[in-house]
Amino acid sequence: MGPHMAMMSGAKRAILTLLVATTLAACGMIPKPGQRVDLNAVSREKMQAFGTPIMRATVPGRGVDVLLSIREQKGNVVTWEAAEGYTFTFRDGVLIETRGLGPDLMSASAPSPGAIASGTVSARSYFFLGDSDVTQRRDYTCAPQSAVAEVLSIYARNHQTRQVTELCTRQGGKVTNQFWFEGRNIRQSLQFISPAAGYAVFVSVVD
Amino acid sequence: MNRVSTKWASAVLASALLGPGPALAEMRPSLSFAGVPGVIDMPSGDAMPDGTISVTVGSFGSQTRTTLSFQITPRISGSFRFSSTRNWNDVTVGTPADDGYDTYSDRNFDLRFLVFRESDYMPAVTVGLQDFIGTGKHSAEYIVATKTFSDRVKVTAGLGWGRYGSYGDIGSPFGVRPAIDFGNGGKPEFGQWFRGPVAPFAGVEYKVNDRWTVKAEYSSDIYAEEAALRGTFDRNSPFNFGVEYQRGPNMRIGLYSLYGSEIGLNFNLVFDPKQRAGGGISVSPPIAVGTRPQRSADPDAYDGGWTLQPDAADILYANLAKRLAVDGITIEHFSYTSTTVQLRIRNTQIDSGPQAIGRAARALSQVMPASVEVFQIVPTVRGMGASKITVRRSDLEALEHTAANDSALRARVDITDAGPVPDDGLGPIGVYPKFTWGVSPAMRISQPYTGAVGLRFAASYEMRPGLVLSGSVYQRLADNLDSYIFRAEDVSVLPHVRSDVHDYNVDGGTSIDRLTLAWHAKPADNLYSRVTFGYLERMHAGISGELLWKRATSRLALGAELNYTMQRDTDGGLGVSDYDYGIATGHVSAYYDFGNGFLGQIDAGRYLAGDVGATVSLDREFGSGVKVGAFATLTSASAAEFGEGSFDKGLRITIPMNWVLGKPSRKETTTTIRSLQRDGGARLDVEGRLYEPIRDYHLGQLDSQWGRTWQ
Repeated sequence: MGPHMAMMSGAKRAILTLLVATTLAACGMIPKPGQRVDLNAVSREKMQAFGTPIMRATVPGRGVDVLLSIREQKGNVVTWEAAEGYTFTFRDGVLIETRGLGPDLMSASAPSPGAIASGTVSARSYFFLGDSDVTQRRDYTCAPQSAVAEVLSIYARNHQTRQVTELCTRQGGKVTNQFWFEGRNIRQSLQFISPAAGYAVFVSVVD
Repeated sequence: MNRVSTKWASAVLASALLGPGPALAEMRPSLSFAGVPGVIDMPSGDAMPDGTISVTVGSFGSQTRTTLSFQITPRISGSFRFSSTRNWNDVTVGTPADDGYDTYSDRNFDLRFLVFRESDYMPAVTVGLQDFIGTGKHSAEYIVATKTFSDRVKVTAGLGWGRYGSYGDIGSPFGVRPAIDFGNGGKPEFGQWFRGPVAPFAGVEYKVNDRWTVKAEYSSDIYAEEAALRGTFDRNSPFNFGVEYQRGPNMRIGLYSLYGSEIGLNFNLVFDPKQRAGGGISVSPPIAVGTRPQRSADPDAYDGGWTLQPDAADILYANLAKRLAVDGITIEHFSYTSTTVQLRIRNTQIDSGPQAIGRAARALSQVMPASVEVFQIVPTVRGMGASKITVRRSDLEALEHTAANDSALRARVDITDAGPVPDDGLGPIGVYPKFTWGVSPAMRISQPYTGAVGLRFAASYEMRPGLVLSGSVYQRLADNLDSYIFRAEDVSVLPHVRSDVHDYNVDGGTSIDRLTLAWHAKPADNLYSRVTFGYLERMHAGISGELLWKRATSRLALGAELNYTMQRDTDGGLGVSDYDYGIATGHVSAYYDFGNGFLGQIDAGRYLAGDVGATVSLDREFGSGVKVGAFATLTSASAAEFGEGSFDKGLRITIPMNWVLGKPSRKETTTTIRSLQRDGGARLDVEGRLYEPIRDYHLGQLDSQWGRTWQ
């Protein structure tokens, strides 16, 4: 294979930017750089029109509420990106990395969704940058609680889900993740990022 | 309009409630009028968290104290205080006590040592020395204990000597305190410590809630000179009372009733240099590590025949440059074989060396053909290769999304000397000559509260890597220099290599600060060189040469510097005739990285006034790039020749812009605080000394920041 001129891989990012711009334009507004968009006002039809999977990520601790599209997939690891410059990487839907938030989740070992859904007690390790940029490791023992059936309404579409709360504890601290399983897939989740960023909510809107 | 799930809204609410973490409920130490952990005017037994930097401004009556404190280690803290008392001679004019000051100013250094940490049953106990190398007017020693009860109440009790033993003493257990003859000041007065009358003091604090605290104390400081002798305020009572308001984690303000006659205000700012504003630097995400096909599935992809393609180098270079430009990284040299690539980069933006290296490795993984397995990344500083980080591409691919991938990758990379620039390959394209410029505010101080403010215009023209023509011009905008108070005793008996700063400030309204041509090179492995010629600094012009020896993996570095300079005219122009003073100076230097951010340095040699001696420095550097240090210089210039302060010493603080902004930047500002700038122990202030920038890409710094490789 010889060298070739690189193509910019920003097509997905352009879709999201266009989506947000279209939404604003539909409301009679011209988007300004950095303008926040009320993502609740974006319609499912507009999102589906782009023909690509779309996820919504909200990180209240960092003031982040964005739409994501898939940047790349390596095996069961999928990295989603936002036009605003954040990425979230999942292994089978379980968060293992964030970038662009500042106090990012640098890496993680996490149980599989199958283990979480089946209530298997598992170990979790989070790695993030602590004081003075030194990597901090936090190890938890995680016990998923019994599943509870719930109907989720996401952008005017109902989803039959089983909600599982995963209680993770260590000496002196705890983390509570929540997963809404639709079949074997995670439709929605509440997952821990880092002490300074807090938690994120991920909603899979368009498959 | 479509509606989103109410469950989504509740999940977001839950996430907001769950993170980022609970507020601290513990009762943190607060700072006294003296800017050290204390009650109101008296010290307490606890210590600030390790690394804390604080600035305190306290004022009551005619007194104002401004204190900079640093928790050097978990147990040791140091403070520098500038105190002034107005109306100093109002009631002593014409008496023997009249020393001619309207406002008496003094500089103090304190040291505190936490002997015992607080435990469930035992209080925190601290031994402190106040103003231990100043003129002695504020000298005190103390041992003090503080115990916290139920996270709401703190009780402090202590014993004080010196000032703190001046009211209500209970005897002199360690003998008479000898009279002080401080001479020019600036030296420890060991003979006085813990001698003379000792008096008890005490205080109590009650935390009403996370914001409000009320305090009361009994002070053992009689203020003999300020109150009894000079009448600057009435000390009617030993009891002080106050209320303090805590705003966020960094700011606290207090209002007090002091000594039965005065209202006092105390304001303090507290910084934790280990943490960044916002919790981290928000940088754009890195590109993904490139994926190669399996060798078994596509063996042709691993064929090295592409190296014969005539335009291969240009195409690969262009692709790399495009990807690296996003992060402010430029290519200084690019060469390859079918299996190995060496990329020499210049990092202009990212504050963390490992992060820049990580991004360069990702770019290589995206661009280089599959047969290239070894990435050699050479960060350069002023054209000099600082080190070579060798990464195996398959390690990058395997570790990209694994847990603890930073330590795993670190175990697999090699860090070595950069070695020579390869003969083949491509040099920088479209980068040089490089012109940069900037404007920044500038302040010039003649005396405390006397100085000028202006603007500094700086420009740099880099003809090729390491060959730089640069300069800066200062323009004064406003000043109060005419309020300068001349004191005959301040006139130096040494050559006036620094002490005529006021003349430079007055005459140099528009002045050339620097105008130099600098050449950097790497003459041999582990050896770095610099030659700088021209107007090297505000007061001296000439030529300066430096050699630095440092292995990329060594904690030790050795350096030598030789200069010949003429003293510049005070108007800041091109002349060097006013003083007719030329001198050869030089130092040999040893640098040592003790680990955990502690850096030591010794420079021995000849200083600008012709005095011979050595400077010892100790700095503590945090991962955020904030650096706090102290230095002291002892030379053949006697205390009498040196003047007030006896010898040169001071503190220095470096603050990187990214710590303030939370955005990537390599800019930083260093402030040096001296008790007094005199002529003894004065070293040439040439720009561009080699150790710091080279160290950025050597083992200690790389390891302390390695967690950011994948960020």
